[in-house]
Amino acid sequence: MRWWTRIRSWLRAVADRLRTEREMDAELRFHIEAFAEDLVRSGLSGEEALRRARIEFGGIERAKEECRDARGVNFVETLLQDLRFGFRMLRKSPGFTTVGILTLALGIGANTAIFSLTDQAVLRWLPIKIPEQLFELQPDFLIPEYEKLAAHTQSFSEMFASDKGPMIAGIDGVPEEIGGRFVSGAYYSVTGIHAILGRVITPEDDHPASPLVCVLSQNYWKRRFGNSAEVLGKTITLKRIPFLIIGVAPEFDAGKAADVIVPMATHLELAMKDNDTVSMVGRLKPEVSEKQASAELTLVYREILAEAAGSKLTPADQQRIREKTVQLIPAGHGGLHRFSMELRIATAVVGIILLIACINVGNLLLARGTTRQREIAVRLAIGAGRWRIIRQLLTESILLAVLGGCFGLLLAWCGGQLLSALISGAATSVTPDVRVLGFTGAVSLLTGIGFGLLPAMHATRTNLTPSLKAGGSGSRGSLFGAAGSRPGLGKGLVISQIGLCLTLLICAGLLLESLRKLSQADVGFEREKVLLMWVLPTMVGYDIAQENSLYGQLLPRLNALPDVESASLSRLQLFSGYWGRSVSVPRHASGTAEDVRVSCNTIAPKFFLTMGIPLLSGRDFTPADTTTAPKVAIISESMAQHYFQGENPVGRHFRFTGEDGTDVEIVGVVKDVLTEFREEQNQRSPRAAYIPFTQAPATMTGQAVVEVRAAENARVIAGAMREVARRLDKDLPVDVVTTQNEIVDESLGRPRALTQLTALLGLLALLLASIGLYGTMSHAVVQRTREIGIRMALGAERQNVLRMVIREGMLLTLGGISGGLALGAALTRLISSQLYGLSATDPLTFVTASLLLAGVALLASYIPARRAMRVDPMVALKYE
Amino acid sequence: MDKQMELLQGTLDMLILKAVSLGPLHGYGVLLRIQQISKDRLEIQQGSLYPALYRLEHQGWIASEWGESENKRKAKYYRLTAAGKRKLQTESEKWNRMADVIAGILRSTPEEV
Repeated sequence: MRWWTRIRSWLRAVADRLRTEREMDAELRFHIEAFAEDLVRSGLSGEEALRRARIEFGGIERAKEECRDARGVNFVETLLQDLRFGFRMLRKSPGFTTVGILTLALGIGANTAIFSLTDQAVLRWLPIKIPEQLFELQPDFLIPEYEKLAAHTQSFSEMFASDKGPMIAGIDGVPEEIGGRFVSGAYYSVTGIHAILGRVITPEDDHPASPLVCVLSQNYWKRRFGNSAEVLGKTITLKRIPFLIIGVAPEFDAGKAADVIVPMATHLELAMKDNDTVSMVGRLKPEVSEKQASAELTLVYREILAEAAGSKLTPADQQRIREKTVQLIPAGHGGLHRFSMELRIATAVVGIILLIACINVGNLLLARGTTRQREIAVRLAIGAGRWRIIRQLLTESILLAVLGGCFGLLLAWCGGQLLSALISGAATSVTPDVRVLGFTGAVSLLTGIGFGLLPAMHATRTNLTPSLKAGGSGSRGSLFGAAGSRPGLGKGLVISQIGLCLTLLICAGLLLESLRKLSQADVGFEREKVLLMWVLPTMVGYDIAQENSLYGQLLPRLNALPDVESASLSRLQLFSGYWGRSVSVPRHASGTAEDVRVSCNTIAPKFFLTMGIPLLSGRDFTPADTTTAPKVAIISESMAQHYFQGENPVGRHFRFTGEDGTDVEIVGVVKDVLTEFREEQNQRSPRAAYIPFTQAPATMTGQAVVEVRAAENARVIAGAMREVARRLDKDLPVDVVTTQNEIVDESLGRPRALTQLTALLGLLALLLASIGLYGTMSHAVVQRTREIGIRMALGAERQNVLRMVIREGMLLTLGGISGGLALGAALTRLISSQLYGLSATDPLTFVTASLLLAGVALLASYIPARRAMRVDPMVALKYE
Repeated sequence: MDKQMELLQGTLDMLILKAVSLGPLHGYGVLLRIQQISKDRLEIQQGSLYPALYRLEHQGWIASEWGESENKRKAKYYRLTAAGKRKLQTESEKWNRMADVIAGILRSTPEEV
């Protein structure tokens, strides 16, 4: 009740502020006049009575102010007043306002864009049923394992399995590659996703004997079928098998969403041959903690593995099983594991940019504070409270920040697409939704307070008398200490800004240099002249024998093409795919898992010739190495070195451990190649074993990449290659990729994106820091015009003045550089995982970045210094 | 006439509530009534009267409306609300208790301690 009255009174007061003011005037006037009338009655003259009445009443304006306070309207009223005043002040100095808004827009915009990406990839809950209860299990499981796990676990109320993979869909006879997704029957009921057309997949659909059905994702339906309701009842083919479209439903995925969803029962038939595992998602029971669930699942999983191994369980297997654990990761949103290194670095970098922007604007405000000193002093002198003025100045800076935020949002919206393409590879748009708007608003507000508070407190700390006397241009003290107040603040801000900027430049420099090293690194094989073509026979239903015969026909035809030096194929393309296997070598005491791991690939004859990998000893594979011929392998130099210690391994034998562990004879040794740039970091072994594609285990069949080495320009044979494949089977999915060089290049895609982003932001920081330094120096020169004039009148040389100003600027720069070097040395360790071929404290990079910064800083202080040099002593002395 | 006493801190609100409890008054009337009842022994800062009135109204103890004064002029009249009546009651009880206690202390003689 009382609250209500209070709020009503407040609302009324706000709503008709004018009326309240009028009423207050009338009421007080009535009081004074009534009082005066009484005084007249006691014998005073009318005028004297009125005067006495006024005096006795006391300060009318103060009473009014207190009345407004009592009403509680003051907050809003003051805010409106401050905003109006703030707008006026901003309009009055358009230069400052423009620079301020632009600087903040860059800082806030960059943060908004990165936040938006992080939000989409990591933070946001998917719009599914109680998403916070959903957890994905790590690792992935074989389908029988999944079924047993789901049957035994007590921690989850419901579970489903899901797996994604590429598929070739035939729609009206036209094949196209799509993103497929296999889901077990419970998927839609667990996630609570409803069909927007037709129905979704149910447990009844997920049986091997059920009719084959599929659901289209809403996006694919829109993209491919134009939202037509006629898709229901249509069939599309997957691997040339017809599937009935039963419905359309939205797909939610923090990553790339699938186009067509099919029951898990078709996994064996449709999935690529190397894909026999599925991911498992469950709804955790409310009373079970993640830790308990993880412990329970780990136990169950180990039992299932032990059971599967049965009586063949060796001690090594037991050890392997004991090392297995099951982890839970949140499936309702992207989760921290999707907060990639790139995103982390980008977040840190844009944070620094915002900090620099804040310091920059803070510095400008500080400078303005000294020119506004007279205004502030006057207001303090006539009785305004210090906090009142601080509040007003803060309102001004928040206003500036919010304006900057608006432009920043615009910037993020336009530039965000570019940014997200750079970082995540996928062009997700920065849509200004409520969360992003909220973030930008909060950042703007904090930014406004962040850069505004210090200058505001500083500006109001003035000693009144000198400011009023000196008329605003403090003529004593150092270059930066205007009017006798703390000289260190402006300096400190410039120094920290330069320091932060240098840190960013160093990071950018390190990344740039390692990118250069990466792109020039020797990968051990031919990059330029080799053209690649993916063939995916399994997608159109080839079995292994058909596939091998296809390759057997394809390769001679490609080799016979004019302009082709040699053609071969492999299951994995060099530098992108990786297949780690464990080996056991007689007389080699096998130690750790690392010790027995080699990388494996299945290849056709002439592979080494085509890829330009020298054969060191022994022979290449030949067409005689067939499926039924003795198992053979060619190993790499480092594998030979590791297991045979300098003896000639040709003719020796080893075994691949695991299911198809037959004895393999080594027939040749080739030079090492790089599997990727950061082999050790990603636990990839440079030790390699190659086997003939005809002797590949079943999981490594189904697809291959054809390598063709051209005599001249690799590009010109692309059409001919495609034509050869098309003539063998017109439906064969074929994808002429690129040159091998582009594959290597592509693996640099993310480092390159990160490098470009950091370099871009580093330059931005440089720009901001130089604006900051320039602004500070210019301001200082204006402040000291009089002093410089006196110096010159007393005979100082122009050159001396120039040198003096530049020296002050460079002193600040040096301070900033030493700070930045220290900070850089401390921080670059954090990005060392992204570096290649140089240390995180590479001296050359540190020196180069410092020199670059010093050069720009010199320029930024040279321009104001020249202006100082041109000061006319006569004008300067008459100034003010 | 006795010398005027300054108002004790925080008592103005109570006096205003008491004054308007006897019948609606405009601001000047409140001043006159307090002076009249106190037989001019209290000194009230006129300037502080209105902020107090506004505060009391904002808190809902009193309500105001425009009416006509004795000399046919428009004036703003304040009256006690129901909540204000209760407030006045508790405040006066509190005051009386406080006054008793303090008076008791001041009356005390060495023998009693």
